[in-house]
Amino acid sequence: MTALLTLEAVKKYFPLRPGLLRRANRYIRAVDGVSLTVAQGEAFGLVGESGSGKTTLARLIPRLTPATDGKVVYAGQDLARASGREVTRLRRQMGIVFQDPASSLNPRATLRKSILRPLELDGIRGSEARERLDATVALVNLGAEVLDRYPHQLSGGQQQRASIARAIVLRPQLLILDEPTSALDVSVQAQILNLLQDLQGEIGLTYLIITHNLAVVRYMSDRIGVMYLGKLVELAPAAQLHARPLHPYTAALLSASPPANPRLRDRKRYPLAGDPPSLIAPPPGCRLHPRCPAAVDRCSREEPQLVLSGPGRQVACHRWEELTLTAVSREDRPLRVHER
Amino acid sequence: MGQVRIPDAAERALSYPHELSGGMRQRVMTGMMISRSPDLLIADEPTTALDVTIQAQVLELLLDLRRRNQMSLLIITHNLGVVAEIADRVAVMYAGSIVEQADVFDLYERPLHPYTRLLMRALPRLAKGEGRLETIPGNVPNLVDTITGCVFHPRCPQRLPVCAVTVPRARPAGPARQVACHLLEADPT
Ligand SMILES: Nc1ncnc2c1ncn2[C@@H]1O[C@H](COP(=O)(O)OP(=O)(O)OP(=O)(O)O)[C@@H](O)[C@H]1O
Ligand SMILES: [Mg+2]
Repeated sequence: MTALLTLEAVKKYFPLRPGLLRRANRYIRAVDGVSLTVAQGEAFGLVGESGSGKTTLARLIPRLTPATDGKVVYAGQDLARASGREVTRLRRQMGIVFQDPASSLNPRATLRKSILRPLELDGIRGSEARERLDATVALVNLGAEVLDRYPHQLSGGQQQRASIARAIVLRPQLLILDEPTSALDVSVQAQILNLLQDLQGEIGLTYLIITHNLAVVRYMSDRIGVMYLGKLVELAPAAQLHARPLHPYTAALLSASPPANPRLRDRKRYPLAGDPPSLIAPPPGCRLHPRCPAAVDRCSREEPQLVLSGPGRQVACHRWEELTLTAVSREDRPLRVHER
Repeated sequence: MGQVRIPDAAERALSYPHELSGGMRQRVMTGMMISRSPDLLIADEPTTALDVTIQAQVLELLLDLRRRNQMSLLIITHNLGVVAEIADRVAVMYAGSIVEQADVFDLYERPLHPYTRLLMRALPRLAKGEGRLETIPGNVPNLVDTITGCVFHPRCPQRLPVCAVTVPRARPAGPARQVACHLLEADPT
């Protein structure tokens, strides 16, 4: 297993606008010391609380945003130290697909133009560019007839296929997918997920996939990382995470995930108390402790580190060995007759 | 903004939308809607950008408002998980037409329209490597194309000759249930 991407204690702090509170040195700690490794050819899923820093983390990788601290190493190269030209070269080995296809497609350009653009920037023109375009369009199952249309003339699924085509036209090694299907309906989502899985086999892609949909992340990922408030709190092979979460936040997430079965609407949850806290002044100790049903004294004083909890598994919780957080099973809930 | 759980709400009230995470933007919108205590709340994809714990809180909030204010809720979503969690009745739309209407339990347990059945089967319920997802052949028609007959017939694996000719009318298929499909007219199951 070769690492394609390694993050070492990566941080991203956004300064609060000066004058807002007239207090200096206040930051939004969007990503606060995340370390992880993604292997070549792996599909790594990233889930977590809204605002926990997933998109920010994704943007740090191609240095769309520079990290405040820590290291991003891609294919053996430290991105913070790479020269401008090196960064450009490394960036071409990464593709990004966002939730909203509109953000990766120019609304005033035909699909052909949008997909050709990265090739152009890479100095590839003429017949070679056309061949690559045709091959890529075929890979994403986009009909050649839509190439001369504008994004608004396409369905959401076609738009997302086009933005995937654009992201892979330079044959990157890494594809970052930030909520790639959350704007799509279920049947189009299934087509796109199948496509992404086929592509992984056909052109050997490595995926970093961010989503709130736990069924999607389970279907797509080999390993899953769970983020809470700028920190990675758990990391595990996908099946194990779903079967036996070790972190209370993971358990809460899994039990809140709606199972698409109305008979399970009264299933037992693992609820978190209160509101998501501030990223400006995060709680001391474990960041989850004010909301955690399993919190003890120590949790409010001492910050748990990410520790090895088994082969390929890491968790940041003082109590992981004592807690049994068997995932709320979908099948063993009693059926209940709906009352009107 | 407190009700919809925005951390640092006071500071954030001055933020620009692009500085908020996707989820925060969604919650600000929800906050704006419920601040007017309406009789009917139409929520179009109320939880799309939210993580599932906050999604659960928003759904809880909507149900609570409904109970307290006798408010009706019309939720528009493509998230079948959300529907299963909150709806009493469901209408399934395809290309501008309602093809099936049913009690939520009937819909999930005994979908009758071929489109509904295929939708239920396209949901990812597998882990990686356990197989491919089922998809519906073809694409959603462009709404400017006029389709004769049933809107779903070009993609329907069970279509009959009549489906390309006549628009199926919605007919009752059990209590509080309506389905617009020629198959059911031919063979009421
Ligand atoms: N350019 C920016 N300036 C200031 N703050 C920012 C900026 N971009 C993001 N943030 C803040 O950083 C935090 C993390 O945001 P991010 O978009 O990474 O979260 P996320 O995990 O992707 O959330 P979601 O699941 O809702 O998409 C949020 O508090 C957000 O408001
Ligand atoms: Mg995001």
